[in-house]
Amino acid sequence: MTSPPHHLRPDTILATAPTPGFTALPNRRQRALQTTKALRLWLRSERAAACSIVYLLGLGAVAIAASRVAPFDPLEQDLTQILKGPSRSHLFGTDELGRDLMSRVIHGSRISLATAAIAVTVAGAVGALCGLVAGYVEGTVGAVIMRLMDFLLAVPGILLAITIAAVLGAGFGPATIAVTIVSIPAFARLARASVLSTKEEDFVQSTRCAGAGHLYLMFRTIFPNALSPLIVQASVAAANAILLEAALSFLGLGTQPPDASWGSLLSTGKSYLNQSAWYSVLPGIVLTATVLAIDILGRALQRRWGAGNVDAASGRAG
Amino acid sequence: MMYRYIAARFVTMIPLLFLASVGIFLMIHLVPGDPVVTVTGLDASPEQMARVRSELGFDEPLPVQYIVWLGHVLTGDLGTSIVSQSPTTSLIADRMPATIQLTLATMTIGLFAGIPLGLLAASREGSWLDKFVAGYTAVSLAVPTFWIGILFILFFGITLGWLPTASRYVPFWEDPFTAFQLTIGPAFTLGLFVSGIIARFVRASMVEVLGLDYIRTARAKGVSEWKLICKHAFRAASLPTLTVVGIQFGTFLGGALVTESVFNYPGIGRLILSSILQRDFVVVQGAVLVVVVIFSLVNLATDILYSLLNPRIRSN
Repeated sequence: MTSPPHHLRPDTILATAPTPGFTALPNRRQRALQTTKALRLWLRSERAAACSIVYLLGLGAVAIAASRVAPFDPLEQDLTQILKGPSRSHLFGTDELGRDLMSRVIHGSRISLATAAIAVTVAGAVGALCGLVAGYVEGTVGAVIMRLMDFLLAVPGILLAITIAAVLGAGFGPATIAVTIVSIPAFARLARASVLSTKEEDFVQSTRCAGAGHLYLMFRTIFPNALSPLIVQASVAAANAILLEAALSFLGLGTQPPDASWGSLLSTGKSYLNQSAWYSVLPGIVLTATVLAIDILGRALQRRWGAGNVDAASGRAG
Repeated sequence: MMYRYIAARFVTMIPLLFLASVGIFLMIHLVPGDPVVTVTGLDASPEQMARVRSELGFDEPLPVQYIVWLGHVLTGDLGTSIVSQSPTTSLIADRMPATIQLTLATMTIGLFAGIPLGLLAASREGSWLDKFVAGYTAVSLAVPTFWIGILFILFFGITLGWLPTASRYVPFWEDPFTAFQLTIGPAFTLGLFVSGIIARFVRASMVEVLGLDYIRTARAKGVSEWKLICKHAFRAASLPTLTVVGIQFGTFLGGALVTESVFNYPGIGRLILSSILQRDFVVVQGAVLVVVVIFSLVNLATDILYSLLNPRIRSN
């Protein structure tokens, strides 16, 4: 869609009407400064969220540079060092083939973060689009879309993901597709709800009267107002995706050996509980910390924007 | 009025279940790969495969297969397992009591831990106690159930040696002690999660209710703080919590796939999981449909209960 020049856009026309006490709008540099200042103030009041951001950025950096950061090759076996506890050379200990567990956890972070990133991006885009259309068009189209979402919600999330992953044949790809499909309906419902609540607002009606088309109304006028709950939902979905991927790998439906993901490490670790407790404790701590960090960040955003209707975590356990 | 509302809700459930049955059927039948091979093995002769194919009804077009399946389902026949050759309905009926017992134990733990925590946090809003409860809920919701299960086995099973390693189902009324030993692991694992959700919801709705005028009036009239929280405020605040409890209840009645597999607990979740892994699509199809029906019925029951307790919903 090509948009009209800025000064002719319907909401610009409405927004630039002279008001009493009108002052010049801040330029780009001033706006950037204001944003950074607001962000700094916000992070100062949300210490836990600031820590979470630092942790997640660190984890992301480690995942990207995994092969440089990891002290060992995650597949390198050393049969003289089997199921050892943490030591100076192997901080997390070693597994049943003498592979360095820390390196395997570091490489596993790639799988968890990649699944979360793909699932949130794709499910967010598809779900938001479906919800936007379903809310804007209502009628038959809207009903069909929402019934489809109802079906996806009628099957408990974990069960749906396991079935899809098994049907597609276990592995990173199938697991990611399964996680993505399961994540879609929450976005769609949320987007539809915010469209329905803003559609009749005065600013939408007046933009329509100023001659805006359907696409403009949907994407430029209504959508920005639905954005903040969707971002909060994205954080919830990312945490859910990491947990779901770990559960699938734990059950043997996700990443396949010799590669390791956090879930599959816990699954093999469980078989060696008698010999090495660290094996199943340490990857679990990293997994929990990651989910916790995303949750804390999401809750902080939710407080900031007052996005109250986001479904928290009800589908997680199973 | 009430009956009409219930009837209307039942009617809206029918198309959803129909849609779900189509969805489940397609999900299983559009699989790449031939399910006949699962039955016959890879080195079967073409004649053998053709025979099995027609036995399973796979030589018919998909819509016909669906209608035949739906017809059987509506008469209570969910098909015969490819692997064990026993009827799916009896496989499900065998596992259901174990899952019901686990669900009841889970919800008991969740409610008994979650409600007091939520009430305490709301009554001392902003205190260290409130912060502690907030931390507890955050962690309990972030911890993966299968990891808590592993830690539980590690600590109580291996280090302390308190738990039996065998897995079977013992009804609580027959042998309470053994039943407790066998159920406490998965029930604690899931209950921790449920208690976190309940505590969070109870706290949120209590904080809202405690700010209302009638609470201030009651307080001004000299109602004791304890009675105020437990009687006046909690009655109003328990409504939103009911929905969450209902959703969790329905989910776990459909089988906790991951937790049951960590503890080798013989419930419906493990039946579904092992059928999926063995590609026993007849059982998967039947069991998933049963789970969806249970899940929808519990959600419906929650909605009805909610409207019974809250007349404002009924009128519109």
